[in-house]
Amino acid sequence: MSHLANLMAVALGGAMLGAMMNTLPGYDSSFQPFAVDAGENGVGQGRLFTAELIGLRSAGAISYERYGKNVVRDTSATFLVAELAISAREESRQIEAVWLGATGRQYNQSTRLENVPRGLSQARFEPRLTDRPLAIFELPDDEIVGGRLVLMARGSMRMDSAVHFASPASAPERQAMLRLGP
Amino acid sequence: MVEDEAGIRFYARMVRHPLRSTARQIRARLFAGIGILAAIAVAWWMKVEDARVPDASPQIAFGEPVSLGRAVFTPQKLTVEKAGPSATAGSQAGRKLVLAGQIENVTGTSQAAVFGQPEKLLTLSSGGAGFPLPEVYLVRDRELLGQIEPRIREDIAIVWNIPDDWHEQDVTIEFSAQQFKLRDNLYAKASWLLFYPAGTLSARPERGA
Repeated sequence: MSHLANLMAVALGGAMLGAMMNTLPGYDSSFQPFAVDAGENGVGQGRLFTAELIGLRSAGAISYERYGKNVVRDTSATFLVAELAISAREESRQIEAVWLGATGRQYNQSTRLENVPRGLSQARFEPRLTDRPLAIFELPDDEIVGGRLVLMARGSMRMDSAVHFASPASAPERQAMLRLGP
Repeated sequence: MVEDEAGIRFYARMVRHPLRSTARQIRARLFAGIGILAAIAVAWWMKVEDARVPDASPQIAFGEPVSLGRAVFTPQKLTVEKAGPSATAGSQAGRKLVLAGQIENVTGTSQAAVFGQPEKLLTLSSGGAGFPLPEVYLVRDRELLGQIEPRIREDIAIVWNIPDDWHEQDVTIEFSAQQFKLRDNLYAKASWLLFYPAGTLSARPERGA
Protein backbone atom coordinates (compact mmCIF):
# COMPACT_ATOMS: atom_id res chain seq x y z
CA MET A 1 0.00 0.00 0.00
CA SER A 2 2.79 2.37 0.92
CA HIS A 3 4.58 1.45 -2.34
CA LEU A 4 1.48 2.41 -4.26
CA ALA A 5 1.22 5.72 -2.37
CA ASN A 6 4.88 6.51 -3.13
CA LEU A 7 4.40 5.67 -6.77
CA MET A 8 1.32 7.89 -6.91
CA ALA A 9 3.22 10.78 -5.31
CA VAL A 10 6.08 10.45 -7.82
CA ALA A 11 3.69 10.21 -10.77
CA LEU A 12 1.68 13.19 -9.56
CA GLY A 13 4.85 15.24 -9.05
CA GLY A 14 6.06 14.32 -12.53
CA ALA A 15 2.73 15.26 -14.06
CA MET A 16 2.70 18.61 -12.24
CA LEU A 17 6.25 19.40 -13.33
CA GLY A 18 5.41 18.46 -16.92
CA ALA A 19 2.29 20.66 -16.86
CA MET A 20 4.28 23.59 -15.45
CA MET A 21 7.05 23.14 -18.02
CA ASN A 22 4.56 23.18 -20.86
CA THR A 23 2.38 26.06 -19.71
CA LEU A 24 4.89 28.54 -18.27
CA PRO A 25 5.89 31.25 -20.73
CA GLY A 26 9.39 30.53 -22.04
CA TYR A 27 12.46 32.69 -21.87
CA ASP A 28 12.01 34.08 -25.35
CA SER A 29 8.44 35.19 -24.78
CA SER A 30 9.15 36.58 -21.29
CA PHE A 31 12.12 38.69 -22.28
CA GLN A 32 10.42 40.77 -24.91
CA PRO A 33 9.84 44.50 -25.18
CA PHE A 34 6.44 45.66 -23.94
CA ALA A 35 4.19 46.51 -26.87
CA VAL A 36 2.74 50.02 -26.75
CA ASP A 37 0.23 50.77 -29.50
CA ALA A 38 0.41 54.08 -31.32
CA GLY A 39 -2.79 56.13 -31.36
CA GLU A 40 -5.20 56.60 -34.27
CA ASN A 41 -3.30 59.70 -35.37
CA GLY A 42 -0.12 57.66 -35.87
CA VAL A 43 1.66 59.06 -32.81
CA GLY A 44 3.14 56.63 -30.34
CA GLN A 45 4.89 57.24 -27.08
CA GLY A 46 7.58 54.91 -25.76
CA ARG A 47 9.36 55.27 -22.43
CA LEU A 48 12.33 57.02 -24.03
CA PHE A 49 10.95 58.61 -27.20
CA THR A 50 7.89 59.91 -29.02
CA ALA A 51 7.43 58.90 -32.64
CA GLU A 52 5.02 59.60 -35.44
CA LEU A 53 4.63 57.58 -38.63
CA ILE A 54 4.14 60.16 -41.36
CA GLY A 55 3.90 57.85 -44.33
CA LEU A 56 5.05 54.76 -46.17
CA ARG A 57 6.53 54.60 -49.64
CA SER A 58 7.70 51.64 -51.66
CA ALA A 59 10.14 51.40 -54.51
CA GLY A 60 11.93 48.90 -56.69
CA ALA A 61 15.20 50.81 -56.48
CA ILE A 62 16.62 53.61 -54.38
CA SER A 63 19.30 56.09 -55.34
CA TYR A 64 21.18 58.60 -53.24
CA GLU A 65 24.42 60.49 -53.22
CA ARG A 66 27.29 59.53 -50.96
CA TYR A 67 30.66 61.32 -50.90
CA GLY A 68 29.83 62.93 -54.24
CA LYS A 69 29.08 59.58 -55.89
CA ASN A 70 25.71 58.34 -57.03
CA VAL A 71 24.72 55.07 -55.37
CA VAL A 72 21.88 52.92 -56.72
CA ARG A 73 20.49 49.93 -54.86
CA ASP A 74 17.97 47.64 -56.52
CA THR A 75 16.15 44.61 -55.21
CA SER A 76 14.34 41.51 -56.40
CA ALA A 77 11.66 42.30 -53.78
CA THR A 78 10.56 45.75 -52.59
CA PHE A 79 12.07 48.56 -50.59
CA LEU A 80 9.63 49.90 -48.01
CA VAL A 81 10.48 53.39 -46.76
CA ALA A 82 8.87 54.60 -43.53
CA GLU A 83 8.98 58.36 -42.98
CA LEU A 84 9.05 59.16 -39.29
CA ALA A 85 9.17 62.11 -36.93
CA ILE A 86 10.94 61.23 -33.69
CA SER A 87 12.00 63.11 -30.59
CA ALA A 88 13.63 61.72 -27.47
CA ARG A 89 11.94 62.36 -24.12
CA GLU A 90 14.54 62.62 -21.37
CA GLU A 91 17.91 61.69 -22.81
CA SER A 92 19.61 61.46 -26.19
CA ARG A 93 18.77 58.18 -27.82
CA GLN A 94 19.25 56.13 -30.96
CA ILE A 95 16.20 54.32 -32.23
CA GLU A 96 15.86 51.13 -34.22
CA ALA A 97 13.00 49.98 -36.36
CA VAL A 98 11.64 46.55 -37.25
CA TRP A 99 8.94 45.60 -39.73
CA LEU A 100 6.82 42.71 -38.47
CA GLY A 101 5.64 41.24 -41.76
CA ALA A 102 2.20 39.87 -42.56
CA THR A 103 3.60 36.33 -42.41
CA GLY A 104 5.04 36.97 -38.94
CA ARG A 105 8.61 37.30 -40.12
CA GLN A 106 10.73 40.11 -38.73
CA TYR A 107 12.59 42.42 -41.09
CA ASN A 108 15.32 44.65 -39.69
CA GLN A 109 16.37 47.85 -41.42
CA SER A 110 18.32 47.00 -44.55
CA THR A 111 22.07 47.25 -44.02
CA ARG A 112 22.40 47.81 -47.78
CA LEU A 113 20.87 51.25 -47.24
CA GLU A 114 22.31 52.27 -43.90
CA ASN A 115 24.21 55.18 -45.46
CA VAL A 116 21.23 56.94 -47.06
CA PRO A 117 20.74 60.60 -46.13
CA ARG A 118 18.42 60.94 -43.09
CA GLY A 119 18.79 57.21 -42.41
CA LEU A 120 17.42 56.09 -39.06
CA SER A 121 20.38 53.88 -38.21
CA GLN A 122 22.74 56.86 -38.13
CA ALA A 123 20.45 59.36 -36.43
CA ARG A 124 20.52 60.35 -32.78
CA PHE A 125 17.50 62.01 -31.21
CA GLU A 126 17.55 64.73 -28.58
CA PRO A 127 14.88 65.64 -26.04
CA ARG A 128 12.40 68.28 -27.29
CA LEU A 129 13.93 68.30 -30.78
CA THR A 130 12.02 66.54 -33.54
CA ASP A 131 13.90 64.91 -36.38
CA ARG A 132 12.49 63.31 -39.52
CA PRO A 133 14.43 60.13 -40.31
CA LEU A 134 13.73 57.34 -42.80
CA ALA A 135 13.65 53.65 -41.95
CA ILE A 136 14.13 51.41 -44.99
CA PHE A 137 13.27 47.72 -45.19
CA GLU A 138 13.79 45.21 -47.96
CA LEU A 139 10.92 42.72 -48.06
CA PRO A 140 8.56 40.82 -50.36
CA ASP A 141 5.44 42.78 -51.42
CA ASP A 142 2.97 40.62 -49.53
CA GLU A 143 4.60 41.40 -46.17
CA ILE A 144 3.46 45.06 -46.28
CA VAL A 145 -0.33 44.93 -45.88
CA GLY A 146 -0.99 43.14 -42.59
CA GLY A 147 2.48 43.95 -41.32
CA ARG A 148 3.35 46.67 -38.85
CA LEU A 149 6.17 49.00 -37.98
CA VAL A 150 7.76 48.69 -34.53
CA LEU A 151 10.14 51.25 -33.04
CA MET A 152 12.29 50.80 -29.96
CA ALA A 153 15.23 52.48 -28.33
CA ARG A 154 18.49 50.90 -29.45
CA GLY A 155 20.20 48.68 -26.90
CA SER A 156 17.10 48.24 -24.76
CA MET A 157 15.11 45.82 -26.83
CA ARG A 158 14.25 43.72 -23.80
CA MET A 159 12.04 44.84 -20.93
CA ASP A 160 11.42 48.28 -22.43
CA SER A 161 8.55 49.68 -24.43
CA ALA A 162 8.33 49.15 -28.19
CA VAL A 163 5.90 51.32 -30.12
CA HIS A 164 3.70 49.35 -32.53
CA PHE A 165 2.09 51.35 -35.34
CA ALA A 166 -1.16 50.36 -37.01
CA SER A 167 -0.93 48.11 -40.04
CA PRO A 168 -1.34 49.96 -43.38
CA ALA A 169 -4.79 49.54 -44.94
CA SER A 170 -3.37 49.33 -48.47
CA ALA A 171 0.08 48.95 -49.95
CA PRO A 172 1.76 52.24 -50.88
CA GLU A 173 2.13 52.83 -54.61
CA ARG A 174 5.35 51.27 -55.83
CA GLN A 175 7.74 53.60 -57.61
CA ALA A 176 10.33 52.19 -59.98
CA MET A 177 13.06 54.46 -58.61
CA LEU A 178 13.06 56.56 -55.47
CA ARG A 179 15.60 59.34 -55.09
CA LEU A 180 16.52 60.15 -51.50
CA GLY A 181 18.03 63.53 -50.82
CA PRO A 182 19.23 65.21 -47.65
CA MET B 1 3.01 -27.48 26.31
CA VAL B 2 2.80 -23.77 26.34
CA GLU B 3 6.56 -23.56 26.73
CA ASP B 4 7.00 -25.91 23.75
CA GLU B 5 4.85 -23.77 21.50
CA ALA B 6 6.83 -20.68 22.43
CA GLY B 7 10.05 -22.53 21.72
CA ILE B 8 8.85 -23.67 18.32
CA ARG B 9 7.76 -20.16 17.42
CA PHE B 10 11.15 -18.87 18.47
CA TYR B 11 13.01 -21.38 16.29
CA ALA B 12 10.67 -20.80 13.40
CA ARG B 13 11.39 -17.07 13.58
CA MET B 14 15.13 -17.75 13.83
CA VAL B 15 15.01 -19.82 10.66
CA ARG B 16 12.65 -17.57 8.70
CA HIS B 17 14.55 -14.36 9.39
CA PRO B 18 17.86 -15.30 7.73
CA LEU B 19 15.91 -16.89 4.91
CA ARG B 20 14.00 -13.67 4.24
CA SER B 21 17.15 -11.53 4.39
CA THR B 22 18.93 -13.86 1.95
CA ALA B 23 16.03 -13.58 -0.48
CA ARG B 24 16.14 -9.81 -0.15
CA GLN B 25 19.89 -9.78 -0.82
CA ILE B 26 19.53 -11.92 -3.89
CA ARG B 27 16.77 -9.68 -5.18
CA ALA B 28 18.90 -6.54 -4.64
CA ARG B 29 21.87 -8.11 -6.45
CA LEU B 30 19.65 -9.27 -9.24
CA PHE B 31 18.32 -5.76 -9.72
CA ALA B 32 21.82 -4.27 -9.59
CA GLY B 33 23.02 -6.88 -12.09
CA ILE B 34 20.15 -6.12 -14.46
CA GLY B 35 20.92 -2.40 -14.17
CA ILE B 36 24.60 -2.90 -14.98
CA LEU B 37 23.78 -5.15 -17.90
CA ALA B 38 21.26 -2.62 -19.22
CA ALA B 39 23.84 0.17 -18.94
CA ILE B 40 26.40 -1.93 -20.81
CA ALA B 41 23.86 -2.80 -23.49
CA VAL B 42 22.82 0.83 -23.98
CA ALA B 43 26.44 2.04 -24.14
CA TRP B 44 27.27 -0.71 -26.61
CA TRP B 45 24.26 0.10 -28.78
CA MET B 46 25.18 3.82 -28.75
CA LYS B 47 28.64 2.87 -30.06
CA VAL B 48 27.03 0.73 -32.74
CA GLU B 49 24.72 3.62 -33.73
CA ASP B 50 27.70 6.00 -33.90
CA ALA B 51 29.54 3.57 -36.14
CA ARG B 52 26.48 3.14 -38.37
CA VAL B 53 26.33 6.90 -39.12
CA PRO B 54 29.53 7.74 -41.01
CA ASP B 55 31.51 10.74 -39.71
CA ALA B 56 32.38 12.05 -43.14
CA SER B 57 30.16 14.94 -44.23
CA PRO B 58 28.11 14.29 -47.38
CA GLN B 59 29.57 15.13 -50.77
CA ILE B 60 27.66 17.90 -52.48
CA ALA B 61 27.60 18.88 -56.12
CA PHE B 62 26.98 22.18 -57.88
CA GLY B 63 23.28 23.03 -57.85
CA GLU B 64 22.69 21.03 -54.72
CA PRO B 65 21.61 23.01 -51.63
CA VAL B 66 23.65 22.75 -48.46
CA SER B 67 22.48 23.96 -45.06
CA LEU B 68 24.50 26.56 -43.19
CA GLY B 69 22.10 26.62 -40.23
CA ARG B 70 20.46 30.02 -40.64
CA ALA B 71 20.67 29.93 -44.41
CA VAL B 72 20.71 27.47 -47.28
CA PHE B 73 23.43 27.90 -49.87
CA THR B 74 23.39 26.47 -53.38
CA PRO B 75 26.87 26.50 -54.96
CA GLN B 76 26.80 27.12 -58.69
CA LYS B 77 30.26 27.78 -60.06
CA LEU B 78 33.90 27.81 -58.96
CA THR B 79 36.24 29.97 -60.99
CA VAL B 80 39.69 31.53 -60.85
CA GLU B 81 39.40 35.26 -61.52
CA LYS B 82 41.98 37.97 -62.03
CA ALA B 83 40.10 40.56 -59.98
CA GLY B 84 37.68 40.56 -57.07
CA PRO B 85 33.96 41.26 -57.53
CA SER B 86 34.17 44.75 -56.02
CA ALA B 87 36.35 47.69 -56.94
CA THR B 88 35.82 49.34 -53.56
CA ALA B 89 35.44 46.63 -50.92
CA GLY B 90 37.74 43.84 -49.76
CA SER B 91 41.31 43.17 -50.81
CA GLN B 92 42.10 44.01 -54.42
CA ALA B 93 45.47 42.52 -55.36
CA GLY B 94 46.21 39.09 -56.79
CA ARG B 95 44.24 36.22 -58.28
CA LYS B 96 40.96 35.19 -56.68
CA LEU B 97 39.16 31.89 -56.31
CA VAL B 98 35.44 32.67 -56.55
CA LEU B 99 32.62 30.35 -55.49
CA ALA B 100 29.35 31.76 -56.83
CA GLY B 101 25.99 30.62 -55.55
CA GLN B 102 22.60 31.48 -54.20
CA ILE B 103 21.75 31.96 -50.57
CA GLU B 104 18.40 32.01 -48.80
CA ASN B 105 17.65 32.93 -45.22
CA VAL B 106 15.53 30.16 -43.71
CA THR B 107 14.90 31.80 -40.32
CA GLY B 108 12.09 34.19 -39.45
CA THR B 109 14.25 37.29 -39.00
CA SER B 110 16.82 39.29 -40.93
CA GLN B 111 20.20 37.65 -40.45
CA ALA B 112 23.55 39.36 -40.18
CA ALA B 113 25.21 36.16 -38.94
CA VAL B 114 24.84 34.30 -42.24
CA PHE B 115 27.70 31.92 -41.52
CA GLY B 116 26.89 31.43 -37.86
CA GLN B 117 27.72 33.25 -34.67
CA PRO B 118 30.69 33.19 -34.00
CA GLU B 119 31.24 33.23 -37.74
CA LYS B 120 32.52 30.00 -39.25
CA LEU B 121 33.32 30.52 -42.91
CA LEU B 122 33.92 27.78 -45.43
CA THR B 123 37.31 26.10 -45.24
CA LEU B 124 39.15 25.48 -48.47
CA SER B 125 42.00 23.03 -48.87
CA SER B 126 43.98 22.33 -52.01
CA GLY B 127 47.44 20.90 -52.49
CA GLY B 128 48.59 21.89 -49.00
CA ALA B 129 48.52 25.62 -49.85
CA GLY B 130 47.40 27.91 -47.05
CA PHE B 131 44.32 29.80 -48.14
CA PRO B 132 43.25 32.80 -46.02
CA LEU B 133 39.67 33.23 -44.84
CA PRO B 134 37.30 34.18 -47.68
CA GLU B 135 35.31 37.38 -48.13
CA VAL B 136 31.62 37.19 -48.97
CA TYR B 137 30.11 39.61 -51.50
CA LEU B 138 26.56 40.41 -52.46
CA VAL B 139 26.69 40.19 -56.26
CA ARG B 140 23.81 42.67 -56.72
CA ASP B 141 25.69 45.48 -54.96
CA ARG B 142 29.27 44.37 -55.61
CA GLU B 143 29.82 45.06 -51.92
CA LEU B 144 30.54 42.88 -48.88
CA LEU B 145 27.44 40.99 -47.72
CA GLY B 146 25.94 42.54 -44.59
CA GLN B 147 22.60 40.92 -44.04
CA ILE B 148 20.11 38.62 -45.73
CA GLU B 149 16.34 38.95 -45.43
CA PRO B 150 13.86 36.10 -45.08
CA ARG B 151 12.19 34.94 -48.34
CA ILE B 152 14.61 36.91 -50.54
CA ARG B 153 17.13 34.79 -52.41
CA GLU B 154 20.37 36.51 -53.24
CA ASP B 155 23.36 35.70 -55.42
CA ILE B 156 26.60 35.82 -53.49
CA ALA B 157 30.25 35.31 -54.31
CA ILE B 158 32.64 33.79 -51.80
CA VAL B 159 36.14 34.95 -52.65
CA TRP B 160 39.52 33.59 -51.55
CA ASN B 161 42.83 35.28 -52.27
CA ILE B 162 45.03 32.72 -53.96
CA PRO B 163 48.47 32.22 -52.38
CA ASP B 164 51.43 32.60 -54.77
CA ASP B 165 52.55 28.98 -54.55
CA TRP B 166 49.21 27.52 -55.66
CA HIS B 167 48.65 26.26 -59.20
CA GLU B 168 45.29 25.23 -60.60
CA GLN B 169 44.21 21.87 -59.23
CA ASP B 170 41.28 20.22 -57.45
CA VAL B 171 40.00 22.01 -54.36
CA THR B 172 37.91 20.79 -51.47
CA ILE B 173 35.53 23.17 -49.76
CA GLU B 174 33.97 22.22 -46.45
CA PHE B 175 30.69 23.72 -45.26
CA SER B 176 29.59 23.74 -41.65
CA ALA B 177 26.18 24.43 -40.21
CA GLN B 178 25.28 25.69 -36.78
CA GLN B 179 22.84 23.64 -34.76
CA PHE B 180 19.59 25.27 -33.64
CA LYS B 181 17.94 24.28 -30.38
CA LEU B 182 14.48 25.66 -29.67
CA ARG B 183 14.84 25.27 -25.89
CA ASP B 184 18.37 25.11 -24.59
CA ASN B 185 19.28 23.31 -21.38
CA LEU B 186 20.08 26.44 -19.36
CA TYR B 187 17.25 28.96 -19.88
CA ALA B 188 14.97 26.99 -22.22
CA LYS B 189 15.52 29.76 -24.76
CA ALA B 190 16.10 29.39 -28.46
CA SER B 191 19.84 29.08 -29.07
CA TRP B 192 22.34 28.47 -31.81
CA LEU B 193 24.88 25.97 -30.51
CA LEU B 194 27.69 23.90 -32.01
CA PHE B 195 28.76 23.64 -35.61
CA TYR B 196 28.65 20.35 -37.47
CA PRO B 197 30.04 19.48 -40.93
CA ALA B 198 27.24 19.97 -43.45
CA GLY B 199 28.89 19.02 -46.70
CA THR B 200 32.02 18.86 -48.79
CA LEU B 201 32.33 20.19 -52.30
CA SER B 202 35.20 18.84 -54.39
CA ALA B 203 35.73 20.45 -57.76
CA ARG B 204 38.29 21.75 -60.17
CA PRO B 205 37.97 25.51 -60.66
CA GLU B 206 37.23 26.78 -64.16
CA ARG B 207 39.19 29.63 -65.59
CA GLY B 208 37.11 32.79 -65.43
CA ALA B 209 37.48 36.23 -66.92
